[in-house]
Amino acid sequence: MLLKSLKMKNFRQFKGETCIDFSCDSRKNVTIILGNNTFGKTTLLQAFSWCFYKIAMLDKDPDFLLNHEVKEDMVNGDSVEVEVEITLLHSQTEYVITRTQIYTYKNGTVKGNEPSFKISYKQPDGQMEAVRPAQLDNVINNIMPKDLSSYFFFDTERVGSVSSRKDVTDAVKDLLGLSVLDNAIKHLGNKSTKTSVIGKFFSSMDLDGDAHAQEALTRIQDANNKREIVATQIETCLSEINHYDGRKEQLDTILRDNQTTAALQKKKEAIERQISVEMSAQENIVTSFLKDFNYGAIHFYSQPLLKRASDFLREVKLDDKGIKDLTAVTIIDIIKRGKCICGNDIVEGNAAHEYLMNELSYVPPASIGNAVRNYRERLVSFGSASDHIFTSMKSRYEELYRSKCRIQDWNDEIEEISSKIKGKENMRQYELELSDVKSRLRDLQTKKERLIREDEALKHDIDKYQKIYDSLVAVSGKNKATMLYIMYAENIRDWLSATYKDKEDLIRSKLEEKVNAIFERMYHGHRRVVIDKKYQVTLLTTIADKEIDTGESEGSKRVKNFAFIAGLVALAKERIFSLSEEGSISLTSEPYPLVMDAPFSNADEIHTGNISRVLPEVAEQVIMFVMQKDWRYAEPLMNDRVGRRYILDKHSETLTMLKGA
Amino acid sequence: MSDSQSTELNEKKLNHMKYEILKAEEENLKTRERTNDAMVDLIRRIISDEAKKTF
Repeated sequence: MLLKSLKMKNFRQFKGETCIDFSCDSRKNVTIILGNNTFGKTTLLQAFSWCFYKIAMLDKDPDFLLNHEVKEDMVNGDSVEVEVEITLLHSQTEYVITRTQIYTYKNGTVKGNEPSFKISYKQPDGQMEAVRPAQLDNVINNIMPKDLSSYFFFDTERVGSVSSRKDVTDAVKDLLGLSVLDNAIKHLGNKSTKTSVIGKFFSSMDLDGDAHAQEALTRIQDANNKREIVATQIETCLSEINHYDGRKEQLDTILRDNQTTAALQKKKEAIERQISVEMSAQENIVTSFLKDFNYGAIHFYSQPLLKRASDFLREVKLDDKGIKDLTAVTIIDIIKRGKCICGNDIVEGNAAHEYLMNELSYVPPASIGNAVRNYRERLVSFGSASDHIFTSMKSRYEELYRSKCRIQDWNDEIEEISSKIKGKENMRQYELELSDVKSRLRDLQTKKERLIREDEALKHDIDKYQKIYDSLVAVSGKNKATMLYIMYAENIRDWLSATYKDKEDLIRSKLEEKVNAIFERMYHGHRRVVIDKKYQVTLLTTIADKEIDTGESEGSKRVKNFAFIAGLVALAKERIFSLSEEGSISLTSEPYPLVMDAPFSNADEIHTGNISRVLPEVAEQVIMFVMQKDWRYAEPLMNDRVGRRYILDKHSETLTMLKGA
Repeated sequence: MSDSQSTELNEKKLNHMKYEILKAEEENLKTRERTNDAMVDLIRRIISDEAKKTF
């Protein structure tokens, strides 16, 4: 921005119309307005502020801007205009900014209405075009944001230290382009900041739908995997069925072709079972025979000898008057007892005694007649038992013989059958195998049907989840696009953050360098400027190789302020940022004027001279409202750079006139 | 951001987005025409429109 002119109408002590044309010459870029205290220098500065921002920071009655002499001349019903008009160049376009307030005399008092505001700009064809009311604030912000204005419309006596103001960080960021990066980073934000670009992108994603689609897809994939397994199982099952079907057919053919063999085989097996039973029976017969033999062998084998003994004894004449089985020992014992078993007493010499003694002569050893008789009777008895055993053994032997004959017959029959079915002995095995094959085929058919049902169920699941997936895929597609936007946004944010950090460090370093360079030229001494991360400026003095803060006088503060502002303005003119692909984007390359009220206040003559020399070199345009006494020191060094010069001529407390010098 | 993600991004589009976003921010810093929400919407539109473009 370069200021071309300031026109005032009845603004405070400037009665009527006052017009100041500012020098826009690049070499003679200084406009000097000379005036002592109370001549209206601050009023001029506030005229800019009122025109731009409707704010006039004046000491006395700041809301009443109408010239008092004009006011005094008004009569009831009169209306008078107060107006400030600034003509400036911004972005190579000429703007005319006008703020007007109507003051009306009514009921004995003069009151101002709400000021009107208008901006017009010169079109390329030279025609002036009014800015639409809705855009007025935007245009002003574009030309000179209010927050930055105090750095360029600088009231030296009112601002103690510009570099220690709280808003200095924001001002530096705005001026040097960091705010652009900072705002972009904040606007891009992150996923957790819902009002940011990335946060809004993230919120717009249908994560539930995506999760459901993913779940449906997983189920489809699972079902497909299971179908593959089932298909393999079905294939294996069918292969086995084919195999067993083939084997069944073979077995059927074999068995059909060998039905006679099978019958013979069955008959042979039946005979074999009979032989087995017969063999068991034989064993029993043999056991019984041996038992009979063990019991009756002596009887049997003694028969010849016993027959000879019996024949001999039959021929012998024997006295067998004695009582059977009565022995001599028994008779002697009865005699000793003295009493017979019939109850009669036995006394030697009596009849009983005599009888018994007689009886002794019939029993051995006196006589063996009774013994022989008894033996003959026993031989008869023994002989009859022998006959029975013989009969029994003979019978068992005959039975055993017959059994063996039967087995022999059967074996003969088996041999005959075997010769007939020789080489075709496995018919039974074939039948068993056929039975097993049929059983397996039944199981395999059951398994195949189960697998087919399982496959159908899986197909049904796949169809179902495919429909779900298809219905969600549109949402998923949108999410995919949104995820791409987020990736772009995060990439840009990360790049901006990295750039911001780099530029911030670089800018602070460059600003410190520039401010120090300017400060060295302005300040007659040996102090160094240090700028911290919040752009707070400190003056350090080197004492014994150590830099210490030795405090600041009003004079050094003034020089420091100018050095800081001049450094800012100088740096703002430089391009701090560019993009290689899109040509270049230049941030904050607009020049700024320095409009200063009483810049040399509290500065000594040397500082005044130094400031006068440096400021026109650094800034594009310098407009100074200077006291005569200070100008004496500034003029020799600044005179060559002065393009316009004015003098404030104070006629009274309510009237100042501007004169060209 | 992972390497796989960065490979999905088109460098030309990315630079154009940066350019448009910074221009919009610079313009708004001067004019204060747009609110924060309006700027957020504008940047969203810049990113989505540029990402959708086919060359």
